[in-house]
Amino acid sequence: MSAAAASGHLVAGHEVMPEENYLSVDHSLKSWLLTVDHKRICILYLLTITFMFFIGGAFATMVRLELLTPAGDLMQSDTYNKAFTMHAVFMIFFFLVPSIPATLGNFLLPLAIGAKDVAFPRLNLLSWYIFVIGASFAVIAMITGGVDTGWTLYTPFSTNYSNTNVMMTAVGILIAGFSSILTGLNFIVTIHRMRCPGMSWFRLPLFVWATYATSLIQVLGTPVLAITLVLVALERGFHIGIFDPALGGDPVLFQHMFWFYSHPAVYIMILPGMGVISEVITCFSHKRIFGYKAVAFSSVAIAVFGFLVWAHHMFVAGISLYAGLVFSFISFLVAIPSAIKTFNWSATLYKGSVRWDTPMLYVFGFLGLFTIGGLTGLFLAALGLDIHLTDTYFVVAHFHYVMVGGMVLAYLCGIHYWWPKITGKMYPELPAKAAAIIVFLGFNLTFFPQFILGYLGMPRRYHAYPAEWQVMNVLSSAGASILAIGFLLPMVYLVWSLKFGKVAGPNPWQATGLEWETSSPPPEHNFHETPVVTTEPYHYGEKEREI
Amino acid sequence: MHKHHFDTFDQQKDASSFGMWVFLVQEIMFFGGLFVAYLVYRHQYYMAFGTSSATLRVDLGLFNTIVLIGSSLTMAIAVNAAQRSLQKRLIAFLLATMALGATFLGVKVIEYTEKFEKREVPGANFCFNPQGAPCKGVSHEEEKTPDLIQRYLNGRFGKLPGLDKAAEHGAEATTHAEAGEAAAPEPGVPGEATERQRSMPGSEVYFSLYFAMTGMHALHMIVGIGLMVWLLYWATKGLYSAEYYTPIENFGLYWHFVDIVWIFLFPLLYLINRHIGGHH
Amino acid sequence: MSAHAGAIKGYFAVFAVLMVGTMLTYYAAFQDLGIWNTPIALFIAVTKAVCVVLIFMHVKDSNRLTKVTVVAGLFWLMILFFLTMVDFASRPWS
Repeated sequence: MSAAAASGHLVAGHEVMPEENYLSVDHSLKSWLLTVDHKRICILYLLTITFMFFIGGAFATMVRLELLTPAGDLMQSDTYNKAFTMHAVFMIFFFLVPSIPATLGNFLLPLAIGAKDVAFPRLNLLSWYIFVIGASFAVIAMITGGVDTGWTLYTPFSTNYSNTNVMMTAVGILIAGFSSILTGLNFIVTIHRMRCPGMSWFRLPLFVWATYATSLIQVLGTPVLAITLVLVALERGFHIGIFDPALGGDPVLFQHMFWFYSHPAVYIMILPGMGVISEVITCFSHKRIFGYKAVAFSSVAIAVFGFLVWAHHMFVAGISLYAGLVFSFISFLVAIPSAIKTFNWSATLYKGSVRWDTPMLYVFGFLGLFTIGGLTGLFLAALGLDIHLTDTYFVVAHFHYVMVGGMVLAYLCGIHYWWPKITGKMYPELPAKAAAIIVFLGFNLTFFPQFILGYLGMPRRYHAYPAEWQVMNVLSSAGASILAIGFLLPMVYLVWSLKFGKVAGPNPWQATGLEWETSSPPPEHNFHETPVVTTEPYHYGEKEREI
Repeated sequence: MHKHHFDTFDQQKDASSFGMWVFLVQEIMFFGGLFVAYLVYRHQYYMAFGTSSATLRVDLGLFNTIVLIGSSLTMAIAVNAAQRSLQKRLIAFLLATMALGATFLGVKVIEYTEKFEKREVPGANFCFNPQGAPCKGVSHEEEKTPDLIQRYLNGRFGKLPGLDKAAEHGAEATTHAEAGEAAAPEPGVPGEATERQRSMPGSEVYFSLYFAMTGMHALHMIVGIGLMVWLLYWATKGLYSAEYYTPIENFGLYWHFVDIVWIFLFPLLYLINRHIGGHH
Repeated sequence: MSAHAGAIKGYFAVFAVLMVGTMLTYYAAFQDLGIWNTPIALFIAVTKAVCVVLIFMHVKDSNRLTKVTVVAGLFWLMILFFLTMVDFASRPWS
């Protein structure tokens, strides 16, 4: 990657936008809707999931507003049930699952391995259309009355009792699931078959390893969710009662099948974020990553272990004590690869020349919050303690620390880090830093009190609560409003930067990696000639020595 | 020949084939969900599964197994013909595969119809009581199949206890504070168990699985026959040859996979506990 | 993979094996073999499936990646089966 050294020292601001790039090829709407360019498909996903994020955010706002006071002022339980369900459905299935893979993954994967595109570009576009169809179903279900089962769609409530739009929502999730499977399939084939000359497995950027592990889960786990949803639909619509206890069915089997996907799905939602962190932390420490292979393999290990622990969501659901012991024990094992990553990231910082640009602020936020989220997960994996904490706000706080403190921060981190590559423009540093700090503070104020509330026994999914918990809930709602500002700010300055941002140049961060060797924004076919890789990834140290 | 984003034709062929295999892994997990449900309930309702299974027409199941394995053979030959640019043979064997697939589905229709007649379809009209009183309306030979299906449909949507009633009065029910309370299940006739409730415990789960598994399998075959129409169209246009036959080859993989699913469904659904009942 | 006339013979051989297997499983189902009825039926089914995968689906002659993919799919299926049964098979109340 000697070309990287040549282009790596150009200073941002002295550049001009390249005339020929994937954005300037054609400006018609048709050229966007029929594009098979992975970079443009990234933009399509970016717009779609941002919209989904705001729908999910609106429901979060309703939830936090209701919880300001102990009584049901704004809503009663029926409406509240719908509010938290729709929040989760949109955030999980239509934002978090596709978030990094479908946007940054789509944009970067071919660039990072030196390919012209993903293996199946038309399938890639089809995946987006399928996603949009699935999202439309969910939106229609929302507009026509919503759904109140919780995102977990537990039977027999979802099949026999709920009078809300379960069917429409389930179909929407099912369809979006196929989009996820096809994206995963596309990425797996791309990584196996499309690497440029010299790009061996151990020269792959860690973001690619993380995406690979994510894709494995998408392909292996999502179909089980699909068949489970089909069975729920059959039971609700046609009385083919596989889970109905009145017919001798077992609702706990539904939970097994649901969590067989939905626990690994949590890793779909965090692994790509870990990939982003690995890239950014090396770049802004200007130092080779500590323990490349350990970080790479821990991604795959998380993907595999993720499939072995699902029943820890069901400790109080009526599984056998023996099964509880087995699943509890295996659940602790997941902590090992996660800890390997965290330690390696920390070790990477050691004696690095650390820069405090916005993406790096998000990295520091991620490290702290993910660690808290991960460690509290261990509390919940412990059989005895879990009985106390199940279905309390402790669980809510735990997964928001991982999903928001982990994944959403990593997503914002990645968006900022690769924004110059995607758009060719720099985002403004000052408001970006402010937003990162606001997000961090707002997040902690929102969710830290929930650990305490949960420990005190406040159950999740209730619209009313005893008065002594009001202070913590007010703090949490106040934090949510700060968090909302932190999320809205990037919307403003990132859009602003499209027109007024400084021209970035090919490599504003002096980063390694093939995506930084091509112009920003990249040309339609990514590289003017197929790159040849001759060095290890993250050769930050070596680069200085060469000079 | 190869698309722009591939460097070589071989790379493209390799990628397509690998992509198909990854897709089949996805299919394995999809059917896996059904098989795990089967495993759990077979374990739980061992006898009910055996007794219910004995009602299936094992002769038709055997016939269909032979038909489907035959279609796998014709499909393999079709792929081979494409690889060797044998245009006419490719078309002939695609047609043969479609014909065998259609035969399989036709037999499935006969089997399903019989289940409707015998009230062995899950739902409000379900009745399976081999030891107890015979189910009303079953084995009246003067009643025609369409009438029976009609009666089944009427019975199901007309007077279904619990669930459908709740759905009808959905708007009203949501005004209640607790949705669960509003839609509590109610028996069909107070004080008296329905024929459905008197059915052999676990038997409805078996038939639910029977329809879910064979139905999902049949759906895959219908999709497969649809895809073959498309392949046939391009085959008559002369698109496939020794240079380019990836779609035929990949479709072949799909078709063989569907065959494999049936290879497991046949013994698991049709052949359990046959020895207890003696002969059919 | 073999794209020649000779392959057809192999296909017919597999077809013959599958037919024999089908008849055998049909016949065995009507014999009282104690606890062995199900294992034998499954053994025959697995044998038939292996024949289809190796010959009809050309896995025998394909690259290592394809083989790994097939094995991975089956491995994950076994995870689903095995860990679910860890619960259902160890419930003292059923």
